[in-house]
Formats: sequence, C-alpha cells, structure tokens
Amino acid sequence: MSLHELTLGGLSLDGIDSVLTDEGWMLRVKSAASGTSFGTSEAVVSAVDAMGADGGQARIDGYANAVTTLQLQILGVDATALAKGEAAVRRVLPDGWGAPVDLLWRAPDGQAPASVRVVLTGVLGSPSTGSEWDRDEVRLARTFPLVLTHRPGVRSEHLTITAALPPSATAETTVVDDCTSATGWTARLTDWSTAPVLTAGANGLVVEHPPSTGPKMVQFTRAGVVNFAALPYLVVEARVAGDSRVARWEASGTLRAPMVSQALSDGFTRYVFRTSGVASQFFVMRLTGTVAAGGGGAYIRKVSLTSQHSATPRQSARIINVGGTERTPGTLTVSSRNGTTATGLTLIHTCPDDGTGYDPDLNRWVTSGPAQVDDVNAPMGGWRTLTDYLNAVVPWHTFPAATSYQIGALVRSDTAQEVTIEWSAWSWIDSVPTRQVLGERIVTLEAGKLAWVPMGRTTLPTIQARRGGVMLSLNQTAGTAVKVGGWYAFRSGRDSALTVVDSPKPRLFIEVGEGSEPGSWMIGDAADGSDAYTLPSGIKSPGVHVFRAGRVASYVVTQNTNDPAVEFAHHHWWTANAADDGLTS
Amino acid sequence: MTVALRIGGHWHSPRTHTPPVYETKVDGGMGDASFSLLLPSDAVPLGVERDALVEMIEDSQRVYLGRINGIDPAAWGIKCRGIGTDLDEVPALSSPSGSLTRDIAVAIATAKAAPFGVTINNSRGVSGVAMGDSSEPVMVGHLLELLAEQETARWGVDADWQLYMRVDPTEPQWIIHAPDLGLTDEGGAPYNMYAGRYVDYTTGLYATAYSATPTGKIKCANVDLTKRGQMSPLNASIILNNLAKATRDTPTWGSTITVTPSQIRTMGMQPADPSSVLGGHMARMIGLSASQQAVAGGEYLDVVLSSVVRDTGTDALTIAPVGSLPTTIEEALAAIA
Repeated sequence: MSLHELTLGGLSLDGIDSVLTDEGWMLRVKSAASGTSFGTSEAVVSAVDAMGADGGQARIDGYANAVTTLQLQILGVDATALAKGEAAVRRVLPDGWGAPVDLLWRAPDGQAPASVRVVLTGVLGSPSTGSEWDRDEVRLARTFPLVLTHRPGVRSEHLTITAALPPSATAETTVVDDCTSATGWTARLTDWSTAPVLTAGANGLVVEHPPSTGPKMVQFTRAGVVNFAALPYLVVEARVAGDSRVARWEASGTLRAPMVSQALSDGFTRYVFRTSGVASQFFVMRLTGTVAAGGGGAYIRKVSLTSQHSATPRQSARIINVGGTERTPGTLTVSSRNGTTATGLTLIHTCPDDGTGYDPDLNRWVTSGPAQVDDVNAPMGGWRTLTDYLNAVVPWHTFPAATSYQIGALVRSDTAQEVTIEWSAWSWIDSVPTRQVLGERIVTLEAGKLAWVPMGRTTLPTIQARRGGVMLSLNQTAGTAVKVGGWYAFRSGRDSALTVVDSPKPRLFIEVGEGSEPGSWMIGDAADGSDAYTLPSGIKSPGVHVFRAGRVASYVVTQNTNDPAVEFAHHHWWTANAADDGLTS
Repeated sequence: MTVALRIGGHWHSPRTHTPPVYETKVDGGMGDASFSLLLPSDAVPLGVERDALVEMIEDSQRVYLGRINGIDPAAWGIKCRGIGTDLDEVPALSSPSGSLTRDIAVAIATAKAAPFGVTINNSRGVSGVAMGDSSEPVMVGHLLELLAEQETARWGVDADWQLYMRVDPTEPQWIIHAPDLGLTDEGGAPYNMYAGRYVDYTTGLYATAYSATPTGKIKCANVDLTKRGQMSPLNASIILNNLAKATRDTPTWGSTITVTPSQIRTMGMQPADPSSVLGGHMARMIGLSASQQAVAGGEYLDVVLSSVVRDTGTDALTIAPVGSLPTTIEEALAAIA
C-alpha cells in the first residue's frame, strides 16, 4: 500500500488521508493518466557581453513560476455528491489576489520529508470528455484537470528557527593552548600517507609541504581532554592560503563551521565556534586550502575559550546557516537581551559568507589619527574626535570580491551644526598610496544625537591588487569636530544589503517576502512580533536582504543595547523535492 | 544592489516597483528618472502626486533626488525631473519683494526664504555675479547657467541637496572598453583659434583680440564681438579663449553607448561601482580600432560624460559624451553669451 500524501490547502487530493467525506465524495489523482505532472521552474537567464571577448556571460537572474497539472478525479455516492466534491475543491483554490495555498506532497514511501509548493492560482479545467466520459458519469466519477501555478521550487514542511547566540557575559577567557610548542600536537594531511612535519614558531604551529595542485586538508589534533562546555565560544586563529579557505572544528564527531570569521592583519583569520552540546574531548581542527613550503603552510595559533564572541558589545557578527538549495524568504529579528531597552539607531547588514573573514568594522584597522577615548556606550567601544585625518589600512584580502562598498560613519556632535566630512579611499601598495577616490558629505547634525552618515560608495580595493591594502580616511573640513563612534565599509552589490532603522523599541523584525511580496521592516515590544509596526520616520534605509542557501553573514550595530539577540526564521527551499523537513537538518 | 524608493516621504518597498532608471548630467546634476509602480490602477500609493519629492536610496546613501514630473495613469508609470529644476522655477531676486539680482549667492538666499522655500542648500558657497547689466528678468537656474558659462564651469545639484559649481575634470576617472564606439568626425567646430573684433572701452575704437595660440595646425576664424558693447582687451580675449574651449576640435560620437559594469572600470581596472559613475566625470575610451584611432587622434579618447543613465535593474549604464558640442561658431557664441 502506498503511503503517499497529496493535500491542497488541507484538503486531501489523494493518498492515505483521502477518504469518503460526510457529503459522500472522495478525491483521487489519476496519476496513470497522461497530463499529471509536477512542474519545476524555468530559470530566467540573461546573457551579458563580456569585455572584448567572444561569447557572452550567461547568468541566472531568477526563476519563473512553475505549473503543476493534476488529473483530479472526484468519486461520489451520487451525482449530487460529485457536485459537492467539485465545490469543495473550488473553495480551496487560490485566485492570486488573496493568500497562497500550500500543495503538500509526500512520496509513496511515507518516510520522506514532505515537499510543499506554494500555489498562487488554481483552476479546474474542463471535465474530461474522453471516450470514458459517459461511463464515468454512470460510475459516479468526474475527472478535471487541476492546473496549479506556484512559486518556483518547493519548501520543507516546517519552519527552521535559527536561535539567538547565547548572551555574551562579562569577558572571560581561558587559554586552551597558545601553540608555542608542538608537544602534544599531531598533524595529518588527508591525501598523503606520510605524516607532515609540524613545527612551532613565532606564528604558532605550522604544517608546510612542497606545493601541490589544488586545495589540501590539514588536520591538527591536540592530545589532552578539554572541557569545551566550560565557556560558550571557542576561538582559534588560523591561516591557510587559497581562494576557498575553510576552517572546521571537529566537535563530538561532526564538523562545525565557524559562526564568526574575522580577518586579521597578518593573514590569519579569527574563527569563533559555538561550544554548546560538546562534551570534554580532544581538540581537532581542520583547515582546507593550498599548502606550500616556505611560509605558505597551514597555521594555527591561540586556541582559547571565551564568553564573548563580538569584537565590541554593540557590534555583533554572526553567520547564519540557510538550509535547502535555493533563495528563501524569512524573518530576521534583532532584540535587546532584556526585551525592554530600545535598540536605538540600528544598522543591520547581511552578505554572503565567502570565507574571507570580511568584517565591516574599519576601526580595528586604524593606523593613525585621533586617539580613541574608550566608552562602552560607543558602538565601536570608544569615540574618536575628528580633529585630524582618521586613517585605516585594510588588507586587500578582506575585499576579495572587488564589489561595491558603502562607506559610512556613526557620528555625534555636541551641538546642532552643519558639518562637512571628507572621505577617501586609496590603494596602499608597499606603504605608498596610489589611486584615490575622494568624496565629501555635508550633513546637519542634531545636538548630542548619534547619526548614521553614509559617506560614499566605491569599489574596493580601488585597484586590482594581490598585495598591500586599502587606506580609508575620514577628515572633517567644516564645523566643530564631531565624535566618531563607528565607521564601516559595508559590502554592497549582489546579495548584500544594509538596513538602517532608528528605533524606540527593543525589537526589530525584518521580513523578507516571498516572491514579489514587499517584505516589511517593523519594530515592536512583543517577542512574537504581535504588536509590531512600521515607523516610517525611523527607517533610514530599508535594505532588501537576500538569504540564499549556504552561509549568510550578518553584522548588527546597536546604539543602546549590548550583544543583541539575532534570530532568523526561514523555510528550507529546494528545486523539486525537499530533502529535510526543516526541523532536522 | 536594490534601490529603495521614497516618494513624498513615504517608502515604497523595492518589490512594489520596477527597478528605477535615473540619469545624472554634467549640467544640472540630477537628470530624469522613470519607474513604474507594480500596483493595480485602483490602489492608492502614498505620496504619489505631481511634484512630489522622489528619493532613491541604495544602502542608506541617496543616489538620486528629483520630483515627479508626470504620472501615466494606465500603468502607474512615473517620470521624474532632477531636483536642480527647482531653481528654474524661482526668479533671481535680491529679496522676495526686491529687485532683480545677478548675484547668485543673493538669489539663492532669496529662493530659500518664504514664499519660495527652495530646500536646495548652498553650503559649498557657490557665488559670483553674472557679467552684463541686462534688466531682463532671469530665473535662478538661468543665472547659474550664465555664471557657469562665464567661468567655463558646470553647475548642478547633487543627490545631497547641495548646489555645486565646478570645472570639468582633466583626468579620467573611468576606463570604458568601447570597440563599437560610433565615432563621428563632425564633432566640434573645425577651429581652434579665434580672432575677435571688439570696441575698446578706453579708446572707443575697433580693435582685434586673439585667443591663445594652439599647438599644431592653426585653424583660425573671425568673430564679431562689437554687439556686446565696449569691453577691455582682457575681457575680449577671455571670451575668445572660452570660445576656443567650447569648440575644441574634439571628435565625439554620434549616439549613446550602453555598457555593463564589466565594461566600465576604475583606473585601477576594478569593475566600477555603478552608482559612482556620474555625469560630469571624465572617462577614457579604449579598445579603439586603427580607423577610430585616426579619428580620435590617439590610442584612446578622453571624454567628459554629459549624461549617464543607470538602469538599477541590470546596472547597465547608458552614457553620452559632452556631445552637444557646438558645431557652428554661431552656436558656440550663443553658448558663451
């Protein structure tokens, strides 16, 4: 017996739940009949002519709606029941103006996760007029083609909730290993039988090997059991070359991806892993990338456990895993931890996590300029009074994609005034600035109020380079010197977005709509969003956040509240069949 | 990449309209824009009315500022004009009830006061007095044009409400690969030097002044400046030099070209940020064939972009050079008058 399930808006069309109703009719889908098929979507592909090259660059812009046609048979105890069955089907069909209706399909083995198609319109076609028509009428059966137009792809049955990270308590750090000695460590290369040489040096532990083609995986293992559950986060600084650098921590037999990756100035990346649910065990770390001799090896240093994952309490980074294989709608929620303090001026940035350790904060790269006066209430952990050029040199490898960036600053003026702030972006090769992009913003500031000032947009790095970096500068040319409490280069361009909201409420809900639904940017008090509303004057910039399957990095800056809870709710979306139910993945 | 739209102070979600297309111009700053609201014709979108303020915002940065110029009722098609046109709608006055002025700073200050209430700011301090003692009424926008021509500069209003007056760049900021550029050999008047007859203000007699001697082959033309009244030899040569500048013997191209972000690059050969390429910037056209190079007079052609139209959906840029180069001396004279 087949255990399949097919329901439309809760009405069982076929399968184990399709039984005779009180009205005396039942439904089934004539799957053997020609004309029954689940539709998949066609990609919308655009071709772009490349610069002076043969052939164009083909790209998928999106997917069109798909059409599923079912040969739906209504069986009844009498002809009245047939008509009642037809009416029951018609009642659940959406017309495209109201809410869509779910078409749920579970494969005949009864075990597979259900695939849900979001049906926009449903039409009952002309009843079958084939040779069987008169016999069907006598047998009290009618067959209609049911034509369903639905959104591209299918989704998993259940909503997937990405919970907030545990709150960062007061800073507490336990060093697991500072990696100054190779004692107790072993290393392994997956595809070589000989054990690689592991040495300890100024940059921690390193595995070097003559160049080989393609990325290699290096596994570091440290003897000695560590109680990882003691603190919520594990921090490791590691370095490996290559465009597709991957770092994974082996926790309880599974590989964990980092939830924050932040590039450091010397080519290392600081990876932060969650330790929840991990028992006492050995420390095992895997790095994937190109491995070479002479400084091109795989490095690991400073393994520690910590209670804080963010660089500063009011600048929170995290990486969100987006399930499925397609782009998904969803809701991103930012809440203050106590549920009452207003988040104030809030910046929410999302972009694809490409493993480069891109981090929008420019303050950590400052090389010269006004000194920072520490203040926990400043987004970047202090204020810099803009009495002189504020310069930051950012290494090139944190801008790998050569895409657009939005430069901006959070500033505060003690008096109401109009100020002119100049910004520039230079390439910085061998400590020599070369190509410059320069702009200025004239902006009116309110007294004592933190303001987001978008300075300008540019491609970073400004030149093609595999060395050096970018020098970004701010300088005030008119008005009394303002205090800079944060400055950023937010990645722009495809799949990246920035939302700026000045909110008097503790919670912020950014809903990414399905298909062409507009989405929303709302604030509220209740955790479930039941009292949320849109404050038009508070929205400084509504970003269209994109969540494609894979890993999406979020970066949240809050004015008034430390370490906000960032949550994400979404459905896993797939091409034609869901591979999980959304609850277990 | 998505551009958010605010009309009359009301946000319109990016998914409720088509990707806007907007223009930036060398003269005036903001140009035209257009988009359609994806709404049924019986819906009432907030803020949408003639002359309503239209702002386009990308990652919190405003990239376009204008006003609704027309609404197509059939498809909610919206056409906009640049914010600089606000200054074409206000007379240049010394005070709201005062007399005409040819001092731009005074005219702007009056325009910002009641009853006009223009919200364009002059924080950069654009100032100057248009030459001549004409008593013809002029609008603020026209006064800016007179001043710009007198100083061989360009005026405009940026997306930040700020008025500016600046000279054309002399260094290219962008590289455009344009092998299919349709170059025309008719760009500009074929003269590079001018001899002008004028009436000297000290002697009251006819005199002759010249523009600066160009390098290469001299192609000189005569012009008559006597209708402008008496002037100094210095003023006469200033006019003639501006004339030579306006009619510089530069080849241009016949129609606009459309480039994708991969075809327009920074001078460091990085793909351009499409919102950063603006009218008034200078671009270097490369990839010219030998015959195009013969017309361009070199391996590349540096041009000031007169108009850059950005389609925010595809990020394709449609660019035109400062192509309205006067092609006759009469046009050139009118332009610098």
